[in-house]
Amino acid sequence: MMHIDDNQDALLDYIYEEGEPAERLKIAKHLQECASCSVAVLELRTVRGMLSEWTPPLAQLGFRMVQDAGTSPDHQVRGGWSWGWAPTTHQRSWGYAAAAVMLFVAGMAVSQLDVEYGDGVMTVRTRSVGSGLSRTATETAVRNASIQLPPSADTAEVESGLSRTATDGRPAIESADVGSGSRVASGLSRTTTDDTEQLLQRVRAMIDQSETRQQRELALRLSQVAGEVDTQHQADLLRIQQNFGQQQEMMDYIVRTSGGQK
Amino acid sequence: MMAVALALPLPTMTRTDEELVARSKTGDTDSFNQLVRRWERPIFALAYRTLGREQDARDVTQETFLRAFRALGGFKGDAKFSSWLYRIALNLCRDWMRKDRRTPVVAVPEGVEMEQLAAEGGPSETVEDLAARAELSGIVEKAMEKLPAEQRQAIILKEYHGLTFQEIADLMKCPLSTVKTRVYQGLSTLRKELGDMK
Repeated sequence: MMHIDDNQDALLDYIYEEGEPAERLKIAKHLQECASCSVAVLELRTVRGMLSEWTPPLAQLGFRMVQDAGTSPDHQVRGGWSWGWAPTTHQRSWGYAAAAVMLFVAGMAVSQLDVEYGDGVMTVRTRSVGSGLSRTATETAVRNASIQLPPSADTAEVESGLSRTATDGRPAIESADVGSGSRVASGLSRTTTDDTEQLLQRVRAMIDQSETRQQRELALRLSQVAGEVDTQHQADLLRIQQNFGQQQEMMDYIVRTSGGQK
Repeated sequence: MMAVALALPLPTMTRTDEELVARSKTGDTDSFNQLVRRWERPIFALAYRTLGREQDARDVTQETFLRAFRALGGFKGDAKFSSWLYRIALNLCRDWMRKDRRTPVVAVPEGVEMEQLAAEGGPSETVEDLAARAELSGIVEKAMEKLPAEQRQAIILKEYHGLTFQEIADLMKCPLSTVKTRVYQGLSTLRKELGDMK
């Protein structure tokens, strides 16, 4: 493999973890064997580490678009809209938010609110403390009031089928197929079974792909770590050798000069 | 029987850029202001690192959002909203430097406020650490100033904004290989500069 410090693309892809994992794995292996490339990578990583220290000032921002009249972005901005610095807006907003939360909590404590998240909405239910009604009864009433389903027989069948499926799983579908003898029901059941099989196959395939990818990534990471350790080791060795060489030269010089004096 | 059901929408903070852009196009100021809040600091950082002056960076940031708002009707969503904003900001930075014949100015270390650095740093950082960081920040800023504008912008977008090489190529309207060359040459120059300055 050619040296990666002669191949900018590969080197950058490796350093910034872009490109194909297989290619990066190749580079990681090369780095374990090549000292000059290892040093090049180490130096660029050091530069990147230093770059991360450059931080812009924490300026007070807080731009805000203010609407003066009923205009849309298609209209000219000037006249209809105006900009302004509003550095304290966020602080004020936080104050309002804190007050709102406190008010909300106090309200919940008094009226015994129930809050639920789901289906993209937050549902808040109130309960009277001394009404004597059970929670279940209240919730049933609320659900009846909130959920609107078309009262058709098909819906009921679907719901019942769904509940059976959820309760008993796949065997229930098969037994329903045998028991009913209906062609429609049989077709539906077969289709459902086929769909389930396809779904399971897709899930298995996805799991396999995921495992393979994870293994590849893990191998790459391990190789990178090993490469980095090796790179550091080689760089240290290089430095030690350089220092040793300098000391050797110094010793030679001292010996030469002391010999000359004698 | 006392039962009341209220359905409230979830907090709007979770909306994606695309959703907020769509709402802004209909004249929803709050949605556009959410986009501003989300992106003003990255845009300011980009402008500051490109121009080197805080006040200029503020002005460019403000102008970027103003232009974005004006041109929102023409934004088709082919690229990410953030990429579109970056492009506006980069063009403005370029115009800014051309118009006033300004070159990026470096804030030397003594201009760095220690209080600000202290707020950024972890609780275990000593005054010496903070001073060292301030000094290093100044050194990096000086080294970056010496790079040609194209190399500096490519490195800023890569290092500080985490864009892929392809995204940078699209933004700077140049081939992928050119971006990689700019980043590589820039890093090589920085390696020498920072090695000399340390």
